[in-house]
Amino acid sequence: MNIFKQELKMAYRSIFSWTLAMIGICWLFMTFFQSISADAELMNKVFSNFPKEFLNALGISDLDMSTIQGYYGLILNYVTLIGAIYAMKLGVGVLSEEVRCKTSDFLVVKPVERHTIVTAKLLTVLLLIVIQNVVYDLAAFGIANLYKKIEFETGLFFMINSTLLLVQLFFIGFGLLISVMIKKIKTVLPITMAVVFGFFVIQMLNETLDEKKLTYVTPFAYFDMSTIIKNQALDGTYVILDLVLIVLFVILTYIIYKRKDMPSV
Amino acid sequence: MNVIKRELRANLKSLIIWSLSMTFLVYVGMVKYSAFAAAGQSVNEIFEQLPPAMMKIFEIGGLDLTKISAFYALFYLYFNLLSGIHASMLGATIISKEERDKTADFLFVKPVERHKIITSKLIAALINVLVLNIVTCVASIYFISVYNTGDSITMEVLRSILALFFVQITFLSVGFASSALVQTTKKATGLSTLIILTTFMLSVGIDLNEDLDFLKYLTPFKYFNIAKVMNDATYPIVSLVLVFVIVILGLCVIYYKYPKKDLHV
Repeated sequence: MNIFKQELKMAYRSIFSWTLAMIGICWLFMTFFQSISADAELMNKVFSNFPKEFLNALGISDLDMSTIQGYYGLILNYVTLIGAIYAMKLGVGVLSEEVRCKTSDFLVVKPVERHTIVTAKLLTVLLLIVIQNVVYDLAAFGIANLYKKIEFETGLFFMINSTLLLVQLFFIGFGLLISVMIKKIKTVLPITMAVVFGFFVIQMLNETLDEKKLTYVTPFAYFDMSTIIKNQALDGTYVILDLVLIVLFVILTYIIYKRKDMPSV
Repeated sequence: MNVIKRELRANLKSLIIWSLSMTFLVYVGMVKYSAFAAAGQSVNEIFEQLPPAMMKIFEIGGLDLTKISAFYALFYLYFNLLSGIHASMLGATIISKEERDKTADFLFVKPVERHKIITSKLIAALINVLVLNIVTCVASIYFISVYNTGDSITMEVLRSILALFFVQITFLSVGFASSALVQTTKKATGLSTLIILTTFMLSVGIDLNEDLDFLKYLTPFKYFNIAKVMNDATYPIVSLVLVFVIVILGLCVIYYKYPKKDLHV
């Protein structure tokens, strides 16, 4: 309980700035909606004549940009990128910072089981991400309402936003796993940027390549916006894959952390 | 000289991982070229019938879609992004890590002037960036030649790799400047991350909304239009001057600030 409270106290400033960044990007890109939707109706007519490979080649997704949920799907890609970096940063940082700040031998010799430490830190990180998602979802809902032209379905909107949470959870789990597998992580950001952007670039490549196998590799590709909007539902296979991976990562983290040698002062 | 050798050895593992990842990415990008080539011919025919206003929307306008250079140009953007991250993270950590690892009091009491140590580290960073650049170049030329069905485009690839190099050194200087301006590695990488994310989001925003085109000088990702670079070898003077100015500024900041800096040991 103490660990949980302490971690939360230390983290509240960073969550503020990152959440603000996500909302800011959403708002900035939303302001372009007016001009984009005007062109989009015209473009949709033109694109309906093109072969699919061509559209893939140019990375033009089959999202309908003239509707607000279509355009929002595009924006969410970039907001998810920022959210994923923050989630990964939390995941990688929360366990490794004890070693970095030389407090690990203090913490670990306390009469607290190691798995309790992991649980407390995991809960902190989960709570932070959930709060971030709630705040962002409300803000995005407000922004979307501000710029919409026709009514959009609220349920679908929040379902699209749930993909943000699912991707972030993936990166929390993955970050935790990386942090226990590497003996001592000296700086968090180089590895988080490299990993997150690596996954992001694979997804960007896949927009053109359209290769099914690659969609399993990168969490950004688990939730294709256009399919979600068309089917009004998340793709079950990918949701299960995501959740299974997250659970796997967390279990591995517990196991490895229990036996880990902490580099001490 | 010793410092250069030592730095190269210290960064070797990271450099190998980055090089392998870039090679893999180039491979993943090129391997699907045959599907694209099939679509390319019909695409050119459709394009000929489009009004010129429509052509502007496709930013790769000017690229012959039947040639593999068009395909490569699509992925070049992502190599750009990843190299930028590598360069700026490297720049941010290579000098500030002495203070982080508490080796600063060892290194800086040696009978070597501070600016010589800084120069050696800068050279080591530049070598790392060059190696990644050359690996990308070689991988690109190799995989293009394997999957190419048309004429060789080695010259075009070399031109784009040169543009890539300019972007890399820009971000490298940004990393150096970050490390000189703030005290800890954590803050330096944080500042570099902020700059990378801002410039990336800005480049995305400029793609979405042409009215923001005047902002393209704020983001190194937009300094070189890949189609023009590959086909006409157009390196805009303004962009080259900006790269030069940023690099010189970065060097000035670090050479001015670091010798006088109070080191936290």
